[in-house]
Amino acid sequence: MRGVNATGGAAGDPGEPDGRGAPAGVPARWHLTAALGTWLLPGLGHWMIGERARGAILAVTIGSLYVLGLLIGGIGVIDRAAPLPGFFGQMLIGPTFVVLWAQERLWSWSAIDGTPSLAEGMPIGVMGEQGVLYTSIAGLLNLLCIIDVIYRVGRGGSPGPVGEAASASEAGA
Amino acid sequence: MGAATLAWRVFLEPAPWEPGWLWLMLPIVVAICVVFKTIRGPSLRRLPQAAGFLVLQVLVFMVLAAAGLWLLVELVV
Repeated sequence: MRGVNATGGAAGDPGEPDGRGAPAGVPARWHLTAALGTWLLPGLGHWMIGERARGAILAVTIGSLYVLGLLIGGIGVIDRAAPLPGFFGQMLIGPTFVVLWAQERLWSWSAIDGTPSLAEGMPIGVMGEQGVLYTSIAGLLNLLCIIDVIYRVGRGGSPGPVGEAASASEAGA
Repeated sequence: MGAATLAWRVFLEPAPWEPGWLWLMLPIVVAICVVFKTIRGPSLRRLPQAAGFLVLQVLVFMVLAAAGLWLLVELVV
């Protein structure tokens, strides 16, 4: 695949494929299943459309950032009741809901056996803020990946349903 | 803090790394640059160089911004 991105100037050349969409004039495909895959696991969508190296790099980078956030702040940084911007970023990664489920189980167990520190909920202080920051940024980076994978032509991608928006976005770029 | 350091339960309690919290910006900067260059870069062959250069740029401008703000505070406030 020739790798000129949408702002690289080659997107408008007739018949010139770029890294993000179909050749100009050819309707692009929306990779909605791959987008869902990216939400479930960062990098999975790129893997699904044949961009395996790209998917692996994204999975390791975003996954590491997310796990590091949980390590820094504890799983209490995922908090549905927290101010919206933090949780908005966090919910852009599917595993957040697994963490929420695990958290609720742990909280209920600690309420039973009386371990107070597990039932305290969201951590406060600098480390709590850093944990929220890490997990939220990981989610926002995953949103970029979701948007990217929707319009990208992968090596293993076959022609599929037509999406007009891809061509429109390239024309506007 | 002392108790947390002695008995830090990984993933259940915040890490006892408060003294060096400013260094925690480095992984975020690196991750943002790597993801950006992975998505926008035409090829993955030059990804380490491109991402490394972007990390350097971001850090230099952060330091310059910090120095500028420090000067502003020192001179104006």
